[in-house]
Amino acid sequence: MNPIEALKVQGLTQRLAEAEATIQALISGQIDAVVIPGTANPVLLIEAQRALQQSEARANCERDRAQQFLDAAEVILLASDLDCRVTLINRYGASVVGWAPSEMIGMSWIDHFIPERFRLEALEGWEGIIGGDLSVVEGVVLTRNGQERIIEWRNTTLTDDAGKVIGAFSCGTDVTERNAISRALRRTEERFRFALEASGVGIWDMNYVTGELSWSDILAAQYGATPGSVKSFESFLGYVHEDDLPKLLDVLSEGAKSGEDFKLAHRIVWADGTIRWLISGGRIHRDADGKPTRAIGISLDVTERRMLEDQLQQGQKMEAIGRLASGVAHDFNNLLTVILGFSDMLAGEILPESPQGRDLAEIVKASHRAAGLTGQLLAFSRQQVMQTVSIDLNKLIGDMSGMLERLIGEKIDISHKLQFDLPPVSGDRGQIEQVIMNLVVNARDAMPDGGTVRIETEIVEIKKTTFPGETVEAGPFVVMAIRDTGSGMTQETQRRLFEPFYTTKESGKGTGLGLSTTYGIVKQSKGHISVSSELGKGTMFNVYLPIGDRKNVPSVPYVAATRSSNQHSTTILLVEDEIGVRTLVARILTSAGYRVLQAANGEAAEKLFETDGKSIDLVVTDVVMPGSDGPTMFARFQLKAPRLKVLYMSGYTDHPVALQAGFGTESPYLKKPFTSSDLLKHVQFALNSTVREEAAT
Amino acid sequence: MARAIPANGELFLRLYIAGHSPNSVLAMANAKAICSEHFASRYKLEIIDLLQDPDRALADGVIVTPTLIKVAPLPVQKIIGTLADKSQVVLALGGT
Repeated sequence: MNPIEALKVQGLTQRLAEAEATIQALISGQIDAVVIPGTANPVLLIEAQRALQQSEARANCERDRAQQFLDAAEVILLASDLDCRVTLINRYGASVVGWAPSEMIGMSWIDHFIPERFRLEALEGWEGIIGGDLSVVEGVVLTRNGQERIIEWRNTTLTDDAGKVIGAFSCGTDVTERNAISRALRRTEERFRFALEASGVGIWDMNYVTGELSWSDILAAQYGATPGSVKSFESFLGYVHEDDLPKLLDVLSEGAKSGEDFKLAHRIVWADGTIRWLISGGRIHRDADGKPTRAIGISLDVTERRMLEDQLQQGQKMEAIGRLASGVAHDFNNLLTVILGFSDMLAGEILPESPQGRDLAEIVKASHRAAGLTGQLLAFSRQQVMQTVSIDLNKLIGDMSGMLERLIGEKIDISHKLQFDLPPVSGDRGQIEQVIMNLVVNARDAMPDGGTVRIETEIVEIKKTTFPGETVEAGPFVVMAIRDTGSGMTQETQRRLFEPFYTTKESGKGTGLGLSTTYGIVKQSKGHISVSSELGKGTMFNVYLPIGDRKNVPSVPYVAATRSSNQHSTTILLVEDEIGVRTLVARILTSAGYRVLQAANGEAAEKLFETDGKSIDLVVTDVVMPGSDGPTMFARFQLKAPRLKVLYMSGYTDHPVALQAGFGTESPYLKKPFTSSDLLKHVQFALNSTVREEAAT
Repeated sequence: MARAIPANGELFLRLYIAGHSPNSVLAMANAKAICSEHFASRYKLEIIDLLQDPDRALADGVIVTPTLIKVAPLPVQKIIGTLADKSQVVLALGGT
């Protein structure tokens, strides 16, 4: 090797050694900078490079984290360019529409994710956003599988460094379910409100801490208050009826103590004095220390219900009293029949001017008065014998006016206002007269210092609901109003007015039977009666009577009280379970020359009929008897002896048996109590009558 | 330790650095320590910051920093790195 080559080799070796040292230094991290020839900045600092790399890594890391945040967010995060093409979408946003985020980049939002029918609208909306309209909007989006979701959008515009709008950033919440829930909630609320309104239930809510009370409009209406006018517990208490206040406060404090639901019925007084009945209920919420914090509850107006219950109760009471009265009166009538009958017979044997005769006359007079009383009782209990005919009410009132004027005296004026061409009413003439008389007398007694009685008639239409608690046949009725200008009646009096023996008159001045008789007659006539009264202003009774047949001409049978010549050959079968009455009737008939066969009941009568049937011309029988009743028994006799005649005796008319026998104006019927001449007249009439079967052939 | 004495006259060194980069600062400190310790006042150390004077790197054939070049006495030696292995550096510089 020559020296030059040797030098070359040495140079190469040195450079290799340098290169190796450089690599070693690089590996061991001892190098700061590298010189790269031919570049603008030939010295490249390794440190700077590393820092740059680190900052890039950090930036990447932050971007990843931001993306994670975007992806984790349960809202749609969407960036779009000016043409509404997607430039960024988070994973959730993509999942809502059913796409992958990477697929969506560059897609037109309006063309792909808005249902066709909304696209025009969406485009206008997009232009609005770009133009700076950043209001919250709801829109429909279309998912990949064709479903639609409702999204609530909040938008902001994206700008470049120069402030130029380059797109928009939108944040969307899927409100499909929320909207459905709130719709369902609204519907439920609507239903609830409807239920409350329809049932008239008011709601109250009280905050014990602030003392604030809130009432629903319905509740305010129940109190006759304007909505929103009652705001405190104290102003509520101002409405409560003073008699019910202690009870109400008791119930409330008990509820606050126990935390249990409370409920009570109480009265309130409206500003105008109207009294209403309410049922109030609620619950008091308490804090951990048991102190009341809030109370909520409801209220229901039950005034009408209570009135109906009252009326129903009253009706039931009247019915019960009626039954009692009729039972007593019926037994009493049998006794009076005996007393009057035997008195009659005694009268034939004693001189009327003798002391015994005068005593007897007193007995008869008292018995007649007693019979009058039982008659009234029976009228009240609707068991009086009625002879239903058609009556021209206007004419009847006209006929009675003279008598009524005398009855009411000079201090009281009486006036009429009668409807022209009034249809006839159906009823018993005598009883309707009594109704008018009772009501006019009642009016007179209410006006001791004078006044006016006005009688009016007209035709009205009544409905099933016009008289709560009563069975009402809807249709036209004739109403007769009798109105006075007297002292009026209290609520209590109005309530009890028709009860027998209830009277506001001084002891001894009234029997307490006048209005109850009136009531009984009207009810028995299938009519109705109502009263309205105001203290100090007067009272008006309205009597509603059913319309009768215009052609029905009343026919009252007339029987002469003379004895006929053939009576001596006449045999009468007498059936009566009450021994006093039977003995009396037998004596009257026997002494009048009839042959009388007596039986205490249907069975005994049938035995007599079997042995002696051919000779019997007439059966005189009680209607209601233990065992076989009168009409049933007679029907059996009639099968064997079609020409047999009958006369019924009874105190009832609407007993089922009596009704079945078809009692009416034409039935041979004798009302208890009766005198001997009554009996003989009716026996004669029955014997002279034609048998129904014959009339029919 | 005995003083390192250059074999042929005064020791002349050039240290190429890049500003205050950590390795450069380290190399500067090591070079000064080695020179003052082994070569007393019989040396000259020129420090060249390539960030200030990049052309010098090209002229002297330096491709990384820090690089220490023993210019004199010959032969020229290049030592690359932070000069942490002082004994090796002293040896390369011709000291003992």
